[in-house]
Amino acid sequence: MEAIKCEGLTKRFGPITAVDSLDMVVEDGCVFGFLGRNGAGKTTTIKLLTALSKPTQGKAWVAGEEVVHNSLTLRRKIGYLPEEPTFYNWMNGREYMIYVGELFHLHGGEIKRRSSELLNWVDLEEAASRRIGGYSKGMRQRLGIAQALMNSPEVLFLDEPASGLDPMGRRDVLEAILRLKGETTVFMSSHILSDVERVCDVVGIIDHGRLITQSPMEELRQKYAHSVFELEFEEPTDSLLDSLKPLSWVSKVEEIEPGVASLRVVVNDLATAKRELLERVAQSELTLLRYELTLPSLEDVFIELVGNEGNK
Amino acid sequence: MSGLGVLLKKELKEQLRSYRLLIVCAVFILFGLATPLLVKYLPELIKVAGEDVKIQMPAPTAVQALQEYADSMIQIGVLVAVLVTMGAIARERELGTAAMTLTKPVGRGTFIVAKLLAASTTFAIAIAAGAVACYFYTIILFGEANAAGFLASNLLMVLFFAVCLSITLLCSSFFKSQLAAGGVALVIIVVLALISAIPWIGPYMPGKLTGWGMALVAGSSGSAWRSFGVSLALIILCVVLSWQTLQRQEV
Repeated sequence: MEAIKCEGLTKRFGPITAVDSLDMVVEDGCVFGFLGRNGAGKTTTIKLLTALSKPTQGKAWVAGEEVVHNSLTLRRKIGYLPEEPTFYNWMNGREYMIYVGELFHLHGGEIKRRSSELLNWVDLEEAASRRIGGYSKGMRQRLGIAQALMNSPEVLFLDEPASGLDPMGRRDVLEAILRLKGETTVFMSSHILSDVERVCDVVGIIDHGRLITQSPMEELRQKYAHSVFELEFEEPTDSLLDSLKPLSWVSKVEEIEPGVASLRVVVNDLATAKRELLERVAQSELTLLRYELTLPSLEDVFIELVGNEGNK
Repeated sequence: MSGLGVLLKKELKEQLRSYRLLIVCAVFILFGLATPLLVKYLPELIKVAGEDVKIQMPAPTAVQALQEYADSMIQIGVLVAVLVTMGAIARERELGTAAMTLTKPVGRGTFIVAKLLAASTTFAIAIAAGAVACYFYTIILFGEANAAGFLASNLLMVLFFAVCLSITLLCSSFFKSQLAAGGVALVIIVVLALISAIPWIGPYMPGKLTGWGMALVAGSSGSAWRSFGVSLALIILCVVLSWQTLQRQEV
């Protein structure tokens, strides 16, 4: 069953086309990663799908409902977490959850039960009686996820849920999303490739408002990415790096970590690479510590599709 | 009006916890206490200040004290009304809290009505508190006062402030900046007050409610039902326009 469907969805702001003829289908129950660089059209798409914004052209359906600007019926079926969730700072966490529950017309007992359940789920039970004004960014983000789940939504929209968080906060938020797998459809936008790679089943890549590709994660890796070799040495690798760069079967060669004697070699002809790479290493007279043919990452796919600027 | 009760409860709590209710009440009570005192002792003060100058002043009365209070509150109250309401929608939109609420099953009209009702309730409570303070201080200082007339005049004041609040809310829904919203609201209210002075249209303006209130305090006859009707219509018009404005906006 389709949780989200768009047909020619377009949004223009004057001369700028933020979302350009978006055709997309998201299946029920999956965690969908909507990937794109900053300004690619991710937030605008989410605003269109949550009926917060009116499309210039095209139609969309979410949870079986046609998306109509300001539709109340649709809002009963969805959950939404904006990029930077803001709350009434004078409320405490539990009060905010109760407020949201009441807005969804849940019954008193159910609101109480669900609030405690969700606050516990996002690890905020202890801080529930503290004013939201004193919450850290990570806590606000987790409260944002909890409030978005109050109505047990059929589709949950998360706009950059882990952006701007410290590593611990990011881990907590991503774990919360992972726990939602199979329970609800999650539509998550992000420009952080590793986050999408970690939690999403299916990925859609958007650039300049256009959907470039949409595919299950593994299929995408197979389809677009080149093979990647990772090499680690005892000595500096500058000479080898320079000698590999001009070779026709090498797409890209870079240091894995600046200052560490390790190289990442992306190749476009695996057979030749297998044959010649070690030969080149031997010629360089460097001491090889590790030689590994790795799975291409989503980053490789992204760079391949969007270009080198996509990572910024 | 789905969710009106929930939003109203939240708005009222916010009025209380953000100290808006307390501040507005404090202003009204302060003037309620100070005005009768000032009216009572102003002749004495003038006498002391201008030792050699002889100014003949009529003896101050309870009616004078109550009227002076109403007059002061209309002027100060308008400023307070604009200041506490100018950010009601603009600030929520700017911070993003409006988007968090409006992605839940509540209409934008309900969002506005709840804000107007809560702000009006704050002013109604403050007007009541100020009136009680003023009335009892007047009795203490002057003796008997016209309670029924003063009560009616305060009810008209509630309506007058509801008009001011609805105009400010309309501006707050229209402008992104709360300062712009407040400034324009103040200009509209002042223009309406100036129009009240034009003989053929004046009787229809909300400003005439205050004149009616003064007359009621003095116990004289005369009413301003046209102004009353126009005030109600203005409130409804402002709510509808705010709703339409917010409806078109992308939060």
